[in-house]
Amino acid sequence: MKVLHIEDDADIREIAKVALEIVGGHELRQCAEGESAVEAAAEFRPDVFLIDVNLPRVSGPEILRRIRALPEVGDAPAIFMTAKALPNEISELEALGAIGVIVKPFDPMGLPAQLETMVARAKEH
Amino acid sequence: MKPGNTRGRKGFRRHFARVVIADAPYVAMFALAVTVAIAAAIYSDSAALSRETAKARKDTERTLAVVTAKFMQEMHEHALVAQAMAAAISRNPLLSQAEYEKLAKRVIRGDEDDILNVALAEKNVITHVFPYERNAKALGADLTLVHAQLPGLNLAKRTRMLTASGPFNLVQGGRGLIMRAPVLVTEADAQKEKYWGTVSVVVDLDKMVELEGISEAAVGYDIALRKIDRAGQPGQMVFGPKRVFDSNPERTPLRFPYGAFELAAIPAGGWPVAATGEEATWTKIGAVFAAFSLLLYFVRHLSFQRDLARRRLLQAINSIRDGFIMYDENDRLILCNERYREMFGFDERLTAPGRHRKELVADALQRGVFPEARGREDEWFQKKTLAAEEQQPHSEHKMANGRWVRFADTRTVDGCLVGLRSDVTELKEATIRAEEANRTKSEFLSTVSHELRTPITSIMGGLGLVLSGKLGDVPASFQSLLKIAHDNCNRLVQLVSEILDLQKIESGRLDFNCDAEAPVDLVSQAIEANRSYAARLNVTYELRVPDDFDARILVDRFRFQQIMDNLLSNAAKFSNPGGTVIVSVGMTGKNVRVSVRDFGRGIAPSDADKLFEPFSQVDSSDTREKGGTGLGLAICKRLVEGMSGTISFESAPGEGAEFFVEFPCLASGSDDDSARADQGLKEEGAGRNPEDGKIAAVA
Repeated sequence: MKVLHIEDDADIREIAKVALEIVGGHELRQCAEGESAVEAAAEFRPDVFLIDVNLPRVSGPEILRRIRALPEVGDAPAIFMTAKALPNEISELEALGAIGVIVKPFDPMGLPAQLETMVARAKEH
Repeated sequence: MKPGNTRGRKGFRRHFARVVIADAPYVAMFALAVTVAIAAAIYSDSAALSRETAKARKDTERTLAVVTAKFMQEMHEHALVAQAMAAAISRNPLLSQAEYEKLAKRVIRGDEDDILNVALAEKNVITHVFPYERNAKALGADLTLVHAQLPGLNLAKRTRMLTASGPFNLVQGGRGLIMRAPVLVTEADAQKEKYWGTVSVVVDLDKMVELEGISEAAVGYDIALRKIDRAGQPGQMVFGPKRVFDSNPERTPLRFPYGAFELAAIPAGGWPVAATGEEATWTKIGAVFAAFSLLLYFVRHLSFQRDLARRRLLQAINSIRDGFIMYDENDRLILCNERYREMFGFDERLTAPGRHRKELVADALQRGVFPEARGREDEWFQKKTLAAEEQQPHSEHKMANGRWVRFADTRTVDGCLVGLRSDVTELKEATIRAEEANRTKSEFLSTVSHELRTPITSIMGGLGLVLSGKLGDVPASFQSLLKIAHDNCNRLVQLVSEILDLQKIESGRLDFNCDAEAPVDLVSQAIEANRSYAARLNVTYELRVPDDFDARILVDRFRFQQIMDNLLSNAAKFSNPGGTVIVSVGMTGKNVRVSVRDFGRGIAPSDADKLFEPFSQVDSSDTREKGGTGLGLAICKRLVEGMSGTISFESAPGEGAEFFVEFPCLASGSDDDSARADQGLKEEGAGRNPEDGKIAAVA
């Protein structure tokens, strides 16, 4: 599965990289901010987007909006990752069109499975 | 519906009733005063009348006495004439006409003009008359042939006494009375007197009354005379109008040897029927004046009291530090105080009584007093009207001058609108500051929480990956240390979350999205989520639910899970290794009860009180030994109560503890419709569990 991960914190990017590539065996592309992510999306054509919500300049939801405008990859499922874990915050994010929300701190060992489950569930619907 | 109209009518009636009731003492006093005045007038009038009547009686009586005296004198004189004539004639009955006339003249003495004639009759035939010229025709007349004369004649003859008879209608007009004296002669050989004839004196009654000063004495009075028969009963009228006797007259009985009479007198116009004296007039004027004065006094008193009450009320209203305004039921201004004008910059002209509320509001809005109303003036007016109609609590508005004003409008029972305008700037600013501070605090905590989570994510992620062994083998001595670091990261994350939760709950900013949920499902999910945690502690969960239990409760799914997580992890934490935690879901009364039972060391009674307080883990060493933040139960209690539930526990040291969470039960199988849920609640006893009913019946 091709995963495009957008996250400004380099450490978390590193952890996610290990988790998704080594543990999960997925093909991963990472971006630190929104603009490059949108470019990468068009070129990389991921199967799923993993987007941090709190990003400098362009926020996660805005990135999602821009990606949705891309003709080739607009339909790929998106998952938000956030440190704000209040129920209303989560439901607000889901309402933006994400198939799921992963709350930080996440379990790196469980992350690939979590991702796969969400994608599978979204495909079912 | 037009509330204004009905209120107006009702209001008037109520107002009227209240005025009458409020003034009842005055009305009563006034009525009393008028009654007293009228009674005094009536009394004094009747007193004057009775005084006047008494005086009239006395005067009448005095006049009657004079009249009686004169009358009696006349009668005596006439009787004397008859008797004197008879006495003289009895010595010489055979006298000539000339001698008769001479005798009569001497006896009458010429001053008895009321004597019409004096006649002598031998036996019953008239032989002599006086004065001769007028009465010559009567000579030789047989008196027995005159029917009316006969009884008197016979009486004189029989009794040999003076008699009086009449009255007769006289030939010459008027009424007459005849006095008759018998002429008795003594014969030489006989001892006895012998009846010879009679002397009769005819008296003209009218003349007698007139000539002898009787009528003169009775000027201003009506006099009447009647005979009294031998039985004492009133007889024939002699003179005067008969009505005198029917008018409660003054009376005097007159008794003569020849008969009895009764003389009566009344004042010419009758007895007084109303007081006519000056005294009575003054009394009446006085009474009217007194009544009028009293009325005037009460009116003055009343209006003084009203003025005083009104003045006091106005002073009170003007001394209020808040703006005060009052409109009548048609929204016409009654009054407002100085502070009100000053607050909104109204001039005297615009706040004159009778002004419509719309005019004032329009003026204020046009001057831009309330910036928030700009462009929606009508809506503002409607909203303010509605607020008063519905007795809404106050609203606060910022004015163009930066001051905050609080509106509190209410309707009185009569439908008047009473408004109070308070300057709440200081209070409002303090509230805004406090809210800002609170928001800042929340934002700060939220940020801190977020900022903490990011590094923790890296630390935990790194540790987790290392510990997983995926990146290469980790020596056992490293592993235990890394595990400690990992666990403490977990605690840190939990602590951050719970501090945030608690802060939100305490500041009342936690929202619940409640739905009808099946508690069994939620509990099962919570058990599932905690099973691996418990397994690490070698503890198992056992769920006990009655058959066909399908009650619903109104809770926020996420918050309920949070509560269950707390209770389940606590129970596992405090269980002995190899132990079981029993989770039961069932009914207790009308509530659904979820209980979580462990068989650990239990809770000492002395610790029970502070169990639900923040950071109160009974033994602070637990925090290190068992993990946890000490906030869990405090949060649970607030969450449960936030969703109208209760939380409690039972425990005996050494025997474990059982925590209970109860929520009101909704209908079985109900959906989200709360109305149906309520209905279901009522039907619960009958419909929910027929088994229970059977058992109860058997028992």
